[in-house]
Amino acid sequence: MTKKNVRVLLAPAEFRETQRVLMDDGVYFIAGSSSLSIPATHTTYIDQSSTRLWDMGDNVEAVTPGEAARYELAAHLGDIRRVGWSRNDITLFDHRVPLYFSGPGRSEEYVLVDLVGAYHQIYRLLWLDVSYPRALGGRYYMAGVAGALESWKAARNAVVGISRSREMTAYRGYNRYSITTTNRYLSPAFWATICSLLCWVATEAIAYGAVYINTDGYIFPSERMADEFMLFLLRYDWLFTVRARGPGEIRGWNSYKVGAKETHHYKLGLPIGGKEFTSVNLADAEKWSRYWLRLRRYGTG
Amino acid sequence: MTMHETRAEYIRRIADDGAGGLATSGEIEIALDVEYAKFGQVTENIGDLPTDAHIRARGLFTDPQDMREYLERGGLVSTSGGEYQPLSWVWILKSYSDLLQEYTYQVFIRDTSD
Repeated sequence: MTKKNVRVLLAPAEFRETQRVLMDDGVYFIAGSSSLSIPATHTTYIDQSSTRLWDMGDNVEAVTPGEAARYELAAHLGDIRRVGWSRNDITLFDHRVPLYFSGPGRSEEYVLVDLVGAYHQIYRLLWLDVSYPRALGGRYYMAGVAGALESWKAARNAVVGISRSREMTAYRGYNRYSITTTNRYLSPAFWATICSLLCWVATEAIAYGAVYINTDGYIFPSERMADEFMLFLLRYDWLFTVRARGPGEIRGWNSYKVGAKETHHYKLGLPIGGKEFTSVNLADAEKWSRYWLRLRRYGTG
Repeated sequence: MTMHETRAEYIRRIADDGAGGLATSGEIEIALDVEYAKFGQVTENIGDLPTDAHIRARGLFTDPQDMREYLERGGLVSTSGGEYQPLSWVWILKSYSDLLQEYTYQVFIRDTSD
């Protein structure tokens, strides 16, 4: 039987210092985004700033987003041994979220439109064992998990990370290792379906004139273009918000100013220029639009 | 008929505008059945499924090209001279979804090991 790790909550500065000391001392540990586990001592150090008190069934604990997500997956989906997919489905992990950059520019009326909780909006209508492409139904419906995690953005997003996580990162000293892990929630089709739906929306955004897209955020150079895109979002019942609007400049990837919103890179003046690129390559956008409508009908039926 | 023209959406659309000569939902349904039957045996009666057939895809497909893509990735299609050859161990259960108001298709695979 696996011994349960002792959990030690640390302030952010202490957490960083602990990581440094472990690396200096050459102690082998497994690194999470906000935790460090030392197998030899069965100890897990956790950055307290990333935690929330979460009802874990038996008791309320301060947990990381990943821990909350895994708890809710287990609580709502039952005892999954594996999701179930064929060997070739592994290629579905090659799907990417939409990224699009049409080059530097300036405008007096940029509009930045964001989908609200994009991953969550999508997977609350999906099944973890969804078949790709565009099948409806499955054994593991995600509405319960999505509902339980609704109030915690980091935990909501952790669900998607868990569904595609095939490796852990470990350190001994300053040497970094990738360790293949077994993950019973691994689902290539779930990831590919989420990416495809986001790419469909991105395809529409580009058609309406978007000049910059990062996953679920879309920048338009004019109010009219943004208005038309928002009408599209309304037609398909996407929840969205206008994050910023006004005069601005796009200098490069992750470096822009839209109204009062400035990215960190923009404030630093980096980078200037940058070549255009896109990861949006969806041949069957129309089919995904129909799938989205079917999902909504199926989920609320 | 090209691959593009066999899409369920296309078949429904040409039926809608009358250009395809598919005037009734029954004709659309038959056209779709023909597409699904390229991959395996289609049945509407769950009792017709062989006793050793088990669910391959829990999900329900609404488009034969989506099912083809799914089956191809699993190595479950056969072609000869550019034509699909139905596999004897692939079964497809057709059922009507009241929620979707359309027919759905689910993949079953026979256990042919014994």
